[in-house]
Amino acid sequence: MSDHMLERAETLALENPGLLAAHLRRLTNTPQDARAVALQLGLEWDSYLLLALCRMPRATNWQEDLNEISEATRVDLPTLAPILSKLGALLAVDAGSPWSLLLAARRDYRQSGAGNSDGEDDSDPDREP
Amino acid sequence: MQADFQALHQQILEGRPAAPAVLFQACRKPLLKLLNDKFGMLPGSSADLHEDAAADAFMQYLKAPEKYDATRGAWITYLFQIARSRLLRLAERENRHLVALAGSVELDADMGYSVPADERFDPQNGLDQSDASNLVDRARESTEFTQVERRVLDLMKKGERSTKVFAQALAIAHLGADDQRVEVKRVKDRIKKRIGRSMGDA
Repeated sequence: MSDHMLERAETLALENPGLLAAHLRRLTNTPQDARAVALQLGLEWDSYLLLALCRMPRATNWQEDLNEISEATRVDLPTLAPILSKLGALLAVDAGSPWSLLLAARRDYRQSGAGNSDGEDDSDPDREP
Repeated sequence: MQADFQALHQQILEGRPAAPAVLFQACRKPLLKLLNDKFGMLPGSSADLHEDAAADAFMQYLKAPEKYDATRGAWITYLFQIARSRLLRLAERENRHLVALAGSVELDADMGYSVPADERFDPQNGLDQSDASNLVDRARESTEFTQVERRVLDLMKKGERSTKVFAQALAIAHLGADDQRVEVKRVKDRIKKRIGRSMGDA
């Protein structure tokens, strides 16, 4: 697969808020470096680029959309679900949902290491609002 | 097997989240093949430039997928029309003095899809200069020009505007100013037409 066309598409997708490209970059501390973002998210480069062209799964159709994205991007569900779950929270925070604010705060707290002792995983997509 | 672009386009309209990635994957090869078949023989029409144009076209489509009208032609042809315009626009950008030349070329070969006026190639928006120059160079090589015509074409490429200079190149300096103007225009138009035909046939 030639990456050039896909890479250019991903760059252009950054300007389309309906696609995941720009939002994915917000998940890491290196938003300027797409390859670093892919690496941090544990994604193959081509898969990352394809994921950037996708839209957010619909809350009403979460699991089915997740499966379709997984197939289209060749990212396995255990890797994909937490990424999209976090993105969902991030976008809901943007939209000002109190539940999502709470969810994001909880996630940040856990990621800081302070709340990770119970071993829980907050990436379950079913917990999304 | 030919992808069902119409069905995938419908999925885009329905907001299916994976549809853009699926459609992108499905259309990239046929779209690049169309660009290569049409422009592959032209210098400056590199694989990277084709991919840029194809990606740009796809993302432009994604901005407003509802603009595609299935009654006017196949989806892939619609995308090709956008990509072709984009390719020429990329070429124009680097060679503004060739805008008139490239812009005069007949670009709307019948591809079975009538592109709305606002999506057509607009020479005023600027082409990619080096690529436009390359396109013209390729046409120059692939078209049968006389030596005199080649001299005129080279002057046109340089952006020469003086009728006097063209008249000297055409060896018609002995004619009156009006006759010189008419003859220079006639030769320039003939050259433009040949380049246009060459680009259209590529």
